[in-house]
Formats: sequence, structure tokens, C-alpha cells
Amino acid sequence: MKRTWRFWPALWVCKLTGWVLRKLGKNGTTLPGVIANRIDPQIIAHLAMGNYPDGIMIITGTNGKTTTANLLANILRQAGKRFSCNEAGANLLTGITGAMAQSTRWTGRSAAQMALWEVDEATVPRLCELVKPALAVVTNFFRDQLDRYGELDTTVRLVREALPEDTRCILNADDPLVAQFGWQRAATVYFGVERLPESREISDEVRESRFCPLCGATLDYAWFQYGQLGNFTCAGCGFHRPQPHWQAQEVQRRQERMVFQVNGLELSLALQGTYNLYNGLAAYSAAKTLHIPDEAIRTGLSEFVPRAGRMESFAFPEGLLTLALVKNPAGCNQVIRTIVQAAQRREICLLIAINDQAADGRDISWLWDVDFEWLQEIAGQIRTIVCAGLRAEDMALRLKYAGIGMDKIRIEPALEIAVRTLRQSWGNGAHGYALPTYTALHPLRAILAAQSLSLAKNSAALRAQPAGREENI
Amino acid sequence: MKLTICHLYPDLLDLYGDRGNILTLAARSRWRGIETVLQKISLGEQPDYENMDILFIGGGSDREQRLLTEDLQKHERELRQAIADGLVLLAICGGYQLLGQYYQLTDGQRIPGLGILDLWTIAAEQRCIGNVVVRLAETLRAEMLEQAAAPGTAAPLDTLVGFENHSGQTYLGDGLRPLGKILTGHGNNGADGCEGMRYKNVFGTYLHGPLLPKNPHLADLLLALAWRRKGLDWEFPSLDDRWEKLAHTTIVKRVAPG
Repeated sequence: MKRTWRFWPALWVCKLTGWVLRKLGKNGTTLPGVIANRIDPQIIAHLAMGNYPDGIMIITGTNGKTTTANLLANILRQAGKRFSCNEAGANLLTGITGAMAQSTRWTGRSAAQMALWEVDEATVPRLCELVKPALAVVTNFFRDQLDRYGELDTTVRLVREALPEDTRCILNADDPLVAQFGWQRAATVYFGVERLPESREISDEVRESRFCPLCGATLDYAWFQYGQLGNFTCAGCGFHRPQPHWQAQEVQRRQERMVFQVNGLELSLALQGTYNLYNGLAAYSAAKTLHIPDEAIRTGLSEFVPRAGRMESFAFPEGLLTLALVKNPAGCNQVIRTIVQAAQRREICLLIAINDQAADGRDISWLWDVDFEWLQEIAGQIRTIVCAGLRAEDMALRLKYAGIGMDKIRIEPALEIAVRTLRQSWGNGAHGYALPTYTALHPLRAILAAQSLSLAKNSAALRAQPAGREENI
Repeated sequence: MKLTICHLYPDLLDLYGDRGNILTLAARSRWRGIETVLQKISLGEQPDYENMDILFIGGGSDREQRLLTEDLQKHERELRQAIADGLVLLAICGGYQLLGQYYQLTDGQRIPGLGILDLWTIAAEQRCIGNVVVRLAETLRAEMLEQAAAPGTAAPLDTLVGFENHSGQTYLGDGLRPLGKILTGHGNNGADGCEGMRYKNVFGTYLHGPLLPKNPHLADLLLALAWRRKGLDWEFPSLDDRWEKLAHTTIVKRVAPG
């Protein structure tokens, strides 16, 4: 394949619109990408031609794409690599095009040694028709916005079939839906987490797939981490959790931080929750595969600043408030579990903002697949739960049936009023949490940022970033 | 006295918050002083149709649906008998389709169903996805009003709300009545304006969301039918349904105004 005449106008128009948008203070990748793909549908292939000598890396899966990509980017920066990435979280073809064009000169040359993209699962097949990734990290597969994708099985199959044979896969050994990608595939790298004190032998969580993805028999589990992640074996065909090349061991949870060992190297991550342990481990495994020195990896992980809405902290006169995006049962369960574990004896107040716009998923039945029942364990410490957003009433109803007393629940669809209500019932020393879905995240974050004393340390760097950044959905 | 609720294949058919339906039946029974027992039946296990009061079959992905149709065939006769005896059954999406004659794929191939009910499903290219509001059939509405302990105390709901996501188009034979008429959404097949199916005490529908939490009148009808079948002549206390009704009417106003 060669670059066609269409490539040049596509690239130039793309760069020009991106430049104008940024001058206007707007997000500069998606719209230019849309226009460029109109002019040259092969533009991604054409842009990649002769560029990125060290290869293209993609990160896909349901949860953890953005965090993993950002962790890996931080490591690459530490190692002094020049790379092009769609850090803005625009993870469809258009966003990737925009990011590529932005780092490509008007001559069609890019100074980047490599490309690092987080890619929406449903976009992987089309992307792999255009370029051949050298490396593919697959985080996990959970139910996410089924009304957009049809069924989970189809998504998983399409991604598996799309990845070229000689793409090096870096796979989550603990997720059978992901680990199956490596069955019969050469040179696969696996990462996993060893049994933790909180690992369970029986899971009562939402089931994604407790059945063998290869033969359909029931999987046996020695332990569960969360969701369908754990140590699994299939009695039917012998498929089992592969031995991880990189395994997280001796995991310690400290205040706002996790410390763990991988093959003797101690790593520290300024994030909470088991799901973030997997994200850190995925970034580590990719970095090791790229032969990045340990020191750069260690610094890159430990100095990482959480992105907007991913366990970000705000300081209020009443106490600290943590903002965490929720978008599907598996992710939301992890957030709920983290809240319950961190509660100890402190009082807690919560704001849950549920929207049902296209980017959130129109179908909010997933709320019933989340184990809000776990909040009963700390029922005595919960002061208030304010339900907000377009589906505030549905959220309140869900909590009622989860056994939370109606006297603790308030329904305030408007975010501004919801935040005010939360603050009115906030007792001294209580810890606040705000859990918005995607389209509620940015408006809610703006309200919190305006009202909080100062952004907590973790978030200070965010203000320096360009405005209007698009967050991963 | 306890009420036994059986969830068929909860490990296979558990899409779209289906367990919310079970939680709702159990809670609304418990709040009225009747404890419930939940039976979960998995592949290869024999359900005890004689000792269950409410049976729930949910929806699953295509792969899972195929796995279990075979399994269900093994005790199809017992299920058919139980339905004839008035077993209260709620079947949603895949579970609804299963009870019918067949599911016809886009290539014309027909996957046989259990053949218990006179309905059939034909796969369409386009998926029906979105919020649904249904105007309840008059007979069904009258039946629900009869269950209410003190009719007229609160404005009764005359709609069903939910969310649909299916590619199968279902058609009803002569003996089956729909649950109601579509106000918003597609329903059974998008053509005849009907949604769901009622036969004896069997309710089939495409509505999840889940269905019962936001449709407490339907949840209570299922409970009342199950109690009556058990021979319980017990007054049906009403519950504080403010939030159930609020969630119901909020979405009706938004997607089917006027």
C-alpha cells in the first residue's frame, strides 16, 4: 500500500482544524479526525507508513484502558522515549487519527519513536485492518453499555479475531475471557495477581462468564479477585489460568497508595482498589516487554497523578471528598468495595449521580448488577446518600431494595442542589464520595472544584492541562 | 408459610439486572410478613416444579441460550404441566422466546423452542433498543386494581415501563393476549403495537430495566396470584410505593409525554 493523493489534503486539513480548535481552547483531536477520515479513509494506515520505528502499542479491554495507558505513558516519559499517544482518551478511529496527525509534521514525518493508543474494544477490528500493532495489552472484559455493542461475547470474539498473529499480546492471566487470547498464540506475556487476603473462594458478584470461553463447561475457581477474575481451571478442556510472567505479590494497602512486589522489584502506586493494581501491573508488563529500565518503571508508576474522576480528591471544610467515575457493574463494584474497606470507623456521605445519555449507556439496568448491598456492612457509618442525575429516582429505588434505610437517602436530580444537600448533611470528620457516570463527571467535577478549598495535591497538576479535554468513555 | 421463588439458570441467564426482579419479589413479600425461599437452578439440575410458587426465567446471550435450550427440553413435560396447573411464571427476553415454538435465524434456520406456548420469534437485522412504555391491557389493569388493598388510595399505575434490547421479533398465536399496547418503543415485533404476553399465570415480556422494581403493580400481581394458588386467603397490605411510582412516572413523563 502507498500513500495516495488524498493523504496530503487529509493530513493538512486535519492539522489545520486541530490548530484552530486549540487556539479556540477546544479539544483538538476528534473533529479533525472526523474530517481527515472523510477525505482519506485510509489515513491511519498512511500516517503510520514509515513512522514509529519502535512500533505501535494498543491498550484495549472494558475497564482500565485510560489508567493503564496513562501509567505506561508516564513510564515512557521517564525513560525518555518520544511517543505519540491519544492521552486525551479519544479512543475511536477519529480520535486516534487526530492524535497521530497532531504529532506528525506537515511533511508527513513523525518524530515519535512509537505510538501508544488506548482503543475502544469495538474499534480494534477496524484499526487492525489499517495498522499492525507490535504490542497489544488486553485488560479485562466486563459488561459495558450493551445497548451500544450488542453482546459481550461478540465483542470479545471480534477483538480476538482481529489481533494479527504476530502482534505480541500482553494479557490478564486472571480473566478467562482475556487469557483465552493466548491459548495457541506464541510469545504471549501474562500478568496476574497472587491470592490476596481479601480474595474469596466463592463469589456472589455479578457473573460475567464463569464458563469456559473455549468449550462452554463450568470453570472451577481456586479463588476470585473480583468479577470473573481469579485462578480458574476448566475440567472440560483443560484450559486454565496461565502462569503469569509478571505476578503482583505481597500487596500492601497504605493510605491512598498501594505497594507491591513483582519478581523482587518493589513498586508503589498512588491509586486504590484491586482494579488499579491490575492497571499498574499491565503497564509494568508492557514496559518490561519494551525493555524499559526498572528505575524508569518504578518512578513512572509511583509518581503518577490520577486523572480526572479516577479516585481524585477534593478538600472541603467538612473533610475530604473522593471523586470516582462509575460506568459498569464490575467497575462500580470495585469502587463500592474500596469505600467499604477504607471506611473503618469513619462516617461516610455519598453522592451518586446516574445519567442515561448515549455516552453513559441508555440502559441503566446495570445498577441492579452492582452489589450496593455491600454498603449494609457500614450502614451505621453512612450519614447520607444523595441520588442525583437524570436517573436519580432509579438510583434511590436501587438503594431501597439494597436494604439502605430510606431516611438516609435523598433524591436531588440537579447536580448543584445535590452537592449542596450533601454538604448540609456532612458531619465533621466524615469522608465524602461522589460517584458520577460519564456525562455527569465533568459538570460534577466543575461544581466540586469551584466549591472545594483547594484541589488536593493529587489534582493540582490537572489544572495545568488544556481545558476541554475529552475523557475516556 | 413461605413463598418459594425459583430462578432458572441464574448463572447463565442473568443479563440486564435480572436479579432486580428476584430482589423485588422477595422484598415485597418480606415487607408483608411472608418469608421467601430462593432456589437457584443451574444446568443439569432438576427443578421441583411442584414445590415452587414463582418461576423466573431471564435473558441471556446467544451462546448461553443455546446451551440451555437442550437442558430445558429434558423436563419440558413437567414445566408444561405446572403451567397448566397455574404456576406463576415471569419470562423475560430470551426466557420469553424459549417458551415458544421456534426461533428463526436470519438464514431461515429454525431453532426449536419448548413449544409450550403458541408464539414464535423471527430474528431481524435491526436490534430493538431503548426505553419502552406500555399502556396496560384493560383486563390486566382491572386485575391489578383488584389486588390493591384499598383501591383508590393512591393513583394506580396504568402503564408498564422498561428497557428493551432484542433482535428477535415475536408473534403471538390466537390464544395469547398481549400485556398491553406500546406507547414508546417497539415491543413484541414493532409491527402490531403489542408488548408481552399473558397466558394463565405466565407473563412473557421484552422489558428489563429491571422490570419489577419500577412496576410494583405487576410485582404485586405475581405475588397475589402465587398466594392465591397456594390457597392463602390473606388481605394484601399495601406498601409505601412512593419511590417505585416516582421512578415509574419520571421515565413515562420523559419518554412518553402526554
